Amino acid sequence: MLEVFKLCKSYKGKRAVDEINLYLDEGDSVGLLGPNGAGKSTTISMISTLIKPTSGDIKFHGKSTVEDPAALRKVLGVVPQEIALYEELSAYENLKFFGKIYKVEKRLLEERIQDVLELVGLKDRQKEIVKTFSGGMKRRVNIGAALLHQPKILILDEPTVGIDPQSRTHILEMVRLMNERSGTTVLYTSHYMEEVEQLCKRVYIMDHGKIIAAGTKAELMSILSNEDKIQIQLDRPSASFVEAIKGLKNIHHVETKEEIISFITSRGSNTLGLLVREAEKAGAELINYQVDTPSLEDVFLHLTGRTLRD
Amino acid sequence: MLTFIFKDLLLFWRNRKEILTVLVTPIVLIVILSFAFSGVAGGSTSPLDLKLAIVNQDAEEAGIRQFIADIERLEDQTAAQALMEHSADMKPIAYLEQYLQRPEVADWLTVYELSESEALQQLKEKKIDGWIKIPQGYTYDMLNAIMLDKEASAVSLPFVVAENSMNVTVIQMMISEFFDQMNFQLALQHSGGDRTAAEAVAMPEGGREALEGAEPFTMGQYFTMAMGALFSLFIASTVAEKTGTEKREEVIKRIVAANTKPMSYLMGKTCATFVLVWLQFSFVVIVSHLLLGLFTGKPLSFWIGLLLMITVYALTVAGISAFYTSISLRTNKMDAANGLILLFTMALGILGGNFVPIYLFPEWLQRISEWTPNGLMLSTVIEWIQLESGTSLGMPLVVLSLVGILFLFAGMLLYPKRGEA
Repeated sequence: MLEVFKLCKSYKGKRAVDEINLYLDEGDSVGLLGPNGAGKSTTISMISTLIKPTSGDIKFHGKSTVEDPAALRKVLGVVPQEIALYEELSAYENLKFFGKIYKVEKRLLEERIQDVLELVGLKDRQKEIVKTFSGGMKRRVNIGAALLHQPKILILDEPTVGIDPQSRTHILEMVRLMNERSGTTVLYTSHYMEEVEQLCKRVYIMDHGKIIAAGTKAELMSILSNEDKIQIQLDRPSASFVEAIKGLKNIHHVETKEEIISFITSRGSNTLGLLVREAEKAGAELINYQVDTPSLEDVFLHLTGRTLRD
Repeated sequence: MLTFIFKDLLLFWRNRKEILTVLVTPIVLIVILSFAFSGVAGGSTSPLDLKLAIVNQDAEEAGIRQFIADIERLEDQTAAQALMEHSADMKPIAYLEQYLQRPEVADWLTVYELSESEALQQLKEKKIDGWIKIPQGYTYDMLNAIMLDKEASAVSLPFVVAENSMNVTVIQMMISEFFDQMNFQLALQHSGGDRTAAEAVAMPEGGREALEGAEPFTMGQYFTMAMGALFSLFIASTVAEKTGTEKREEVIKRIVAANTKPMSYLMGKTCATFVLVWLQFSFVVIVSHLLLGLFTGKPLSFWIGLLLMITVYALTVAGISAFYTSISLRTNKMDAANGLILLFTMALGILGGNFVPIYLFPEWLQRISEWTPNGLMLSTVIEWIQLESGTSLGMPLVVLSLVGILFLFAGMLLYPKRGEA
């Protein structure tokens, strides 16, 4: 349905997006994962027809949206990263304004507004001024404003930044329902790996303006099929132990978070005996040893040597 | 487009601070400035008290006799006869004295006839604002200059002052207008007009009452129009500032993504500004009138004319807001853009006479003032208050409309295309 070919965007000679290829099928839920500054928002802006690419093309049902964006815009709902609302207007007034500019028929508009308010869980607070809402409530109206014209494709640019867990759960559930029940195609960008894992069937991982990996979750995880993620804990913290295991063969990407030490090791390699010996040398005792299933975060770490939040 | 207009009006209405700024502040300023400037000028209807001395060193009758004796010696006796007929009525000093001692200006202009030493002494003691010296041979030289196109050294009248002041400016304006009128009428007569010089020299009125048959205007009336015009310009800059907010908060992205016609947004801003300026200006005029009784007794035609001017001025400011809006969309440095727009607005306000009455400006600055839309609006509306002459409205209204259209076109040209904002 929507295909992106060798898309590039340069600002002052610097490439923000570098020859990316991407596609969305009808009813797809696709995640665009990457750290801040990876080029996700620029990519989204080009796909949303808001900015023109430096080179490359985006085709909707085979027709270039770079040349003629109108057809795509009609079926596209865009949720910008910022709270793109009029803070002095109420939730209802905002939705009414955006419904009108999306040219929702007058006879349908009122019903749509109420449906959207129901969906975002703000029906009983619709007359309140947006300025008085919490960050999570504003985010929900922000999404609602993109749903009034019942878009076939919904593009969400980091819609859960800076909100409480309750609103976050509500938003994720809402997007999941729209995709599964209404068949809305979703392109979801985030640097929260768990959101993309939860919502998206396919994932593109971006870094430094390039797509460094793409596929279904299972396909991406298979990148780490020969590796295990191990988490261990000592009875007391020991810097000398951490330094010692960093030098061990088959152990890499060692990280310490509070008292938990995690690392990646080759599958089947017997690291337990080595760890026990190193703990004894450091005067400590190994009290916990856990083998975890790798996550997309680990895939990203594996591919870039960095975490998503670096 | 209606959706955009309604949204902008609603946003403006919701911002109570903004409402107070554009509606209440001008009223407060009108009251304060009216009293302040009335005090400086000495009252609202008769603000001036000018004292002028004339030092006449010429003998008018002798000058006329000398001129007639000269033309009697001309070879062309027919021309000489015609010149003599006109010369008999030509009394430049008498005209000036009549002009300065008219009953209409007697309330605020006192003219003394003094010797040069007396004038110098009184000027030193600040008993007079200045003195005009009529040099010896003035009449003879003046007649030669007017009737025979001869250059003469004594035709200008030195005006001596101790220091520049509002009073001095007004006297200079009066003298200048006297000569303009006299030269114009004499030129007409000289080129074949059949009126006599005495009829022809229509005595212009001086100072603030510069127009024949005009009613005086009050400081309250002046500042009502000045503040209305100024705060209208502030509305245009506020609209631009809101555009910046919409851009920063990415509402613009949503609007563009909704596949709206590119110009709808700009035209929405323009029309909303028009409505806001119209309402604001009308509100300021009506409330000031109700509070201060500014236009009591004015006929319906006056109000219709005033409404027409406000409407055209609202169009001009709407055009300016389109220009500001496009600039705001194009720039990435919103604070700098807002600062520049505000500076530009303040500069227009100062030049346009919105803070200090135009007639206190030097003449060259008054001319510049009429090149600003608010200055032109102000001088036109003041003329309307004084004269209520429909013919005086035509050209300024056309110019104001053109200025508005030019700004609107500039705004449309600057309006960013996709991906430029």
